Amino acid sequence: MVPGSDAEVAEAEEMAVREITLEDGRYLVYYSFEVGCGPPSLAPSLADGRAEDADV
Amino acid sequence: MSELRWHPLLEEWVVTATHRQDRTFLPPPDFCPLCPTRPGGFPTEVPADNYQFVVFENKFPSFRREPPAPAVAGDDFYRVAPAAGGCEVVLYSPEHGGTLADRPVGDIERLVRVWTDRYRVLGSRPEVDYVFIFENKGEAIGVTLHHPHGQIYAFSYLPPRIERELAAAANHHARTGKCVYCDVLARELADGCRIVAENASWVAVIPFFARYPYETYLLPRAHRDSLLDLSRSERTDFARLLKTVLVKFDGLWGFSLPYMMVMHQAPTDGIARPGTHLHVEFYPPLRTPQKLKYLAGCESGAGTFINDTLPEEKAAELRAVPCPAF
Repeated sequence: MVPGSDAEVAEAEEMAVREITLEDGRYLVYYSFEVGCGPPSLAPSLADGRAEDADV
Repeated sequence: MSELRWHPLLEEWVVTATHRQDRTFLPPPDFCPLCPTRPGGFPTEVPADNYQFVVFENKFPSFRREPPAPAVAGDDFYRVAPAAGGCEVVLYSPEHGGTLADRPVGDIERLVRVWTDRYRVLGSRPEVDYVFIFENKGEAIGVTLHHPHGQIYAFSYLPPRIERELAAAANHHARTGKCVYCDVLARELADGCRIVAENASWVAVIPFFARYPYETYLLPRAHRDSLLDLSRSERTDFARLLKTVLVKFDGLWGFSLPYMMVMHQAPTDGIARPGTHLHVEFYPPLRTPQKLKYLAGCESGAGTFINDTLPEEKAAELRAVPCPAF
């Protein structure tokens, strides 16, 4: 691994996890990565629980 | 509705999931349900105006945490069972365009950490015996949404392909005392001619027994049961090799190569088995830029694959595709 490479930066980051419940009862989990980000902190700026017509 | 129906001729479960007929089919980019919800825009699956990675329960799942009762009554011969388990969607990026091949190595490394966490979370559920991480890419595979994403199925039983692999690994271990994947890797490294790429801790190879022309395996050099067993450097090397293979795939013919990518690792049913070895298998469905490898009569009806190509030649083609060092 090249010192200072993108991959090395990724390894040094902390992974924050935040789970919400959508209106229809399904869960959705946000994963965010940041150096020293500590506990889950990613705050969706829109109201939790909206979901429409997605499919996979 | 979804349910499991027992196939008495093959002794395996078939999943009926009729609600999936209604899922969205190739929506225009402005109405992608996997993009972030923009202020004033239509509400997507993700109620946030940005994200790095998101995992959510599929709106049209084949398996559910609380599955409905089967729609039909079964009996001892035609058995039915609730389709317990889970189906998750993994969003690789908030950006609508591009593919995993376009993501920087750091993002792929982050994705590996997300996969590892989902393996841990889903595998800890008592009803989940197998966590299956996969990606279908490209319309040739039947993808209905272009936003870069993968999927995870949490099975309440061992899927038949997995069960067969585990049985083969157990047989090999009983005969030799060794892991069959470790032995395959040793043989491929000794032969050399089917290696696609390698780094300090991972190897990509079109194996001797490949069924698809560009069927590529990624294996850790060391014996590792699951993502949870990877060291930090092995995880990073995994991301680097994944990026390398994806770039080579797209460079092969100058367009984004469709594929199925599947990850096999240890079951989560609490039973220790010899010879489970984490690995990724890619099945690109094309045999030329214009021709698909169909699973036709012999493959579907007899279960025997006919590969029109030699793995040694296809591996040489992929080795020759220019690729930066990641």
